[in-house]
Amino acid sequence: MKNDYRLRTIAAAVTLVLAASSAPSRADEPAADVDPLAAYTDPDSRATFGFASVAEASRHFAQYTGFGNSRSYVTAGIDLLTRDDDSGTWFAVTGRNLGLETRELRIEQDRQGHWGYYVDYNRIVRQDPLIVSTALGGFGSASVAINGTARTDRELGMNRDRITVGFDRTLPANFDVEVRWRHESKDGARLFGRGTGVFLAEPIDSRTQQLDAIVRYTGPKLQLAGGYYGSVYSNRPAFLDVSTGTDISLPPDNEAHQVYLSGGYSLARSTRLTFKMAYATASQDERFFIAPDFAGNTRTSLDGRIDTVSAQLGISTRPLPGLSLLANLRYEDRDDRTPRYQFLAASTGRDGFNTPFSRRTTAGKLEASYQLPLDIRLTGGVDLDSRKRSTLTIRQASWRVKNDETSYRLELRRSMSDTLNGAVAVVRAKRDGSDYLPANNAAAADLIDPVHFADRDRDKTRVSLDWTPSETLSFQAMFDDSKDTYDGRALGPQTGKARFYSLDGAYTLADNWQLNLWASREETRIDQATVSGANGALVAAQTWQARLRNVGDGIGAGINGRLNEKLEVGAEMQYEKDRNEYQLIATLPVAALLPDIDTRHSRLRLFLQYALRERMGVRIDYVDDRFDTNDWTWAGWVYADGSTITLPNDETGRFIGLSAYFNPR
Amino acid sequence: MRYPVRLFVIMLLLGALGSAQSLAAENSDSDARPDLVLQGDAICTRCHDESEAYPVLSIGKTKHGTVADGRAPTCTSCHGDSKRHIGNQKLPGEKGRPRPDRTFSGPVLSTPGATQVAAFATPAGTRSKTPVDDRNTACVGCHQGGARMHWQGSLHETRNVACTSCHQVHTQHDRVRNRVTQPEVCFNCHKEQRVQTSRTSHHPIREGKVACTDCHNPHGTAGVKLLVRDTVVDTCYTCHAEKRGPFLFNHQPVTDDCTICHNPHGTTTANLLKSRPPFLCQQCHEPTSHRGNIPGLLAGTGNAAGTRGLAQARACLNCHTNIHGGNNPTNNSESRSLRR
Repeated sequence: MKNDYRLRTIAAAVTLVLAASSAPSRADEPAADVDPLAAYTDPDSRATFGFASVAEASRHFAQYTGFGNSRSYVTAGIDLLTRDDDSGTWFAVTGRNLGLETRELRIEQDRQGHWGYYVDYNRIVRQDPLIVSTALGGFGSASVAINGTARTDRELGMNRDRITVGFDRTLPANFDVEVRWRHESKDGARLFGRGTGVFLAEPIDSRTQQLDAIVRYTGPKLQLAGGYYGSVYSNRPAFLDVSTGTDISLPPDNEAHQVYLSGGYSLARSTRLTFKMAYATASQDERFFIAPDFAGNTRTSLDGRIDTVSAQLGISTRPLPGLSLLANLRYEDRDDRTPRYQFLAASTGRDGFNTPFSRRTTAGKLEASYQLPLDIRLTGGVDLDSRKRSTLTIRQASWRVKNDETSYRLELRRSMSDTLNGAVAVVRAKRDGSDYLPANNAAAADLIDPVHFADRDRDKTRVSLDWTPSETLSFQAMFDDSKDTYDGRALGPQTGKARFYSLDGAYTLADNWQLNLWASREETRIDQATVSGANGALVAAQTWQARLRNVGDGIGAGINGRLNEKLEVGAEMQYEKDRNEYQLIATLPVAALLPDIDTRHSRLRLFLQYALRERMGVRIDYVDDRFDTNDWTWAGWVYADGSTITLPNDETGRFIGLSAYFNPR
Repeated sequence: MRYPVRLFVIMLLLGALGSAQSLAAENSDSDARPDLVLQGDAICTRCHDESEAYPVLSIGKTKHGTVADGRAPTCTSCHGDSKRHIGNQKLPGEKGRPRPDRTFSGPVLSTPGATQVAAFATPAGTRSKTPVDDRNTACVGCHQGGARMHWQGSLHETRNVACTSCHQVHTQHDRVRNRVTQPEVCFNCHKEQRVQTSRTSHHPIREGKVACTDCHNPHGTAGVKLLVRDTVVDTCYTCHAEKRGPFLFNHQPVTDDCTICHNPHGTTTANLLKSRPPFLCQQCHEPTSHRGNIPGLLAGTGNAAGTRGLAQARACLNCHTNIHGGNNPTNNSESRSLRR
């Protein structure tokens, strides 16, 4: 019955679209007064309308398409573009997916070289593939009751609705001004929880406003941009009111404001100086949703504030034919000026104060590139990155106040012929830093150097080849190899490896036929160790290792062409296969071991476009999206409150679109 | 002179006269021809039109074709005076017509209807003999300001990426300026990202709702990784401002660099995480309390070694739900540990 309905819907859509396309139209009448040259030189426009039918729904396919149910939609699209040749004034209306969840519409007008404005609306949907079965009362709201209602299936997801308005104006003396304002609302619910093992949904009901205002000077040698960027975030619910037990804080309102001056100056034709200076302040002073209960603390808000000063200076030059030099220096001082107050009782692992973090980063780059004989280009460079961080009196994890990383790069690029180019690049980087400050101030229990603080040697190699044997045929091959070796401590990250291979080919079969094929493999691996037993001591018998490996294979192919003047067809296929391996070297019952996870995803897209008349035609789109996995993340998992979550593990989504298009003149 | 010699001389004279007349006619034809699209394009459009391998007229559909804007270029603004090409002035031994002074590689897909084809495949383009920096000079000469101020010295510039490697200048629909088709242009070089954006956890890049240029400015920036704002965290906050804080209790990596835990291009773990918790968390946290316990599939929502509580659902985040930062001021240990 359901299928009958869908078939009837599609049949009706076909009839309607064909009828509409066959109807006499002024757009298709011979126009004797139309300049034939105009067809080649005047902007084109197109309007489409049609029907889309989700023939088979898939939650994975629906994630960002919104096609979560088997149903039909009326859709429309517009790409209207006109120009008044006398004044140089453009007017454009661009609409896509009108009628669908993912709709977007933009209207803009500008008199080129004088002024312009636009209004843009865009919706981004995210429908979580997970199906939640829960008795949580008030699901999606800021006030929830655990087991407060009858058990039912619930949806997690979010809609982002963005409206952007922009304006620009050219001013005398090479100045211009641009202003952009964006308002984004986010509504929905996402996965949340409370220890140990209680299911909750986080309500999403927030607004973000951003304002960009820029004044620019564009001279022949000097270009400057002075601007303001502001971002204000407001979250309607301040906390999640849970019927039993402790409430949970939600992201607080906050804002950030930056003023900057950026520019470039061409000292000579081949020498350029660039810079940027900026000052930013970010604050968070939302009133606490509950009063602090630590004796003597009468704060009503955090009064959080971070001031950031940043600067960049760069110079690039080509002092000799074939020689390029580059130097760049970047500095950022992120000063967390949030006052410290005690909120918690002090204990072994904490002083009870809030935890502001400051950081000062200095990064530099030097690079030289020289054209050698035999069409060889040699590029060498040194990158420096130094980070200095504030610390806390007692830390949750091992800490480093300072990290320094130096990278040396060498690249050889050679044009072996008019049709063959190759490159080999190697990078060697070394990161170290200051002495570690132990976690919980207990040196004996300080066993792991955090992955982003730890000493690390990194070796990378990249080989690429680009071959164009003929005007119609090209190939690209690429190989990347990377290895990280962390400091020699027994626990924590040990080594990381990554390899990537890819091969691409493109072939123009005939004037109107093109074919492309690609294949790639990416392997990543990290070996790490830690110790169980909760005693925080290095006990050999309790030490265990994880060798985490991910292998992703992908292939893709596309063919497009015109069978004749009226008929254009295309097909695109992509297939990916991923494997995650969790090789634990640990003492555990067999029933506890984590199986590998295999995931396969394929997508086939087909289209056919047929020109019924000179400026109108029909188009059919078909998408087949298949997904299957043995992911055990949610299998057999039951929350302490009885909630369960299902991840659909074998799905096919099928979409058919039928539309008519008109190209008005 | 003998008759054959006289005939030969007469033929030569006639031939020379004919050539002169032909050249004069050609020149007068050029002079008489109106410009078709751009100012002064008659010298080019007398030979080049939309029907050949290098269609040119469709530049009229673009911003460059807005002749009312006095800044709009002519053919020779970009391609150079090209006198040898126009006059077919060959150098000794040169075969074929000399090429214009400045030519550009890349697909020139402006034939009406060709945009559908272009949306899927990049045909092999003809290689230009013009050095890349000379090609780019034609563009940078006008487009030096605004978002391109930091082009020189940027990674793309120093790696000899030509503007026309990404942009199609002669066509109304430049694929790299369209949110839907842009990623395929970037994936021509960035192959790893092509695969990563198709992983189970990804931004809606393939779906045409997030473009590479939402996060990156390929024309160069003052910050890192060609990001649109000066740092990784500031770029992420443009869409994820709820993670900005500052919070009462901050999680240090959140304030430092989001990519310590996330790969924004896509991963096989939910929420773009680089590894599945607890493994990710165990790369930093000491094995005191439950933190070093072994994840497994034994019954139980707690965090004892081998149980589901440490391995399944959101693993560590089952309890530490406010992992980006908490703002609960009450005196309980769960506030500190990002649980409340």
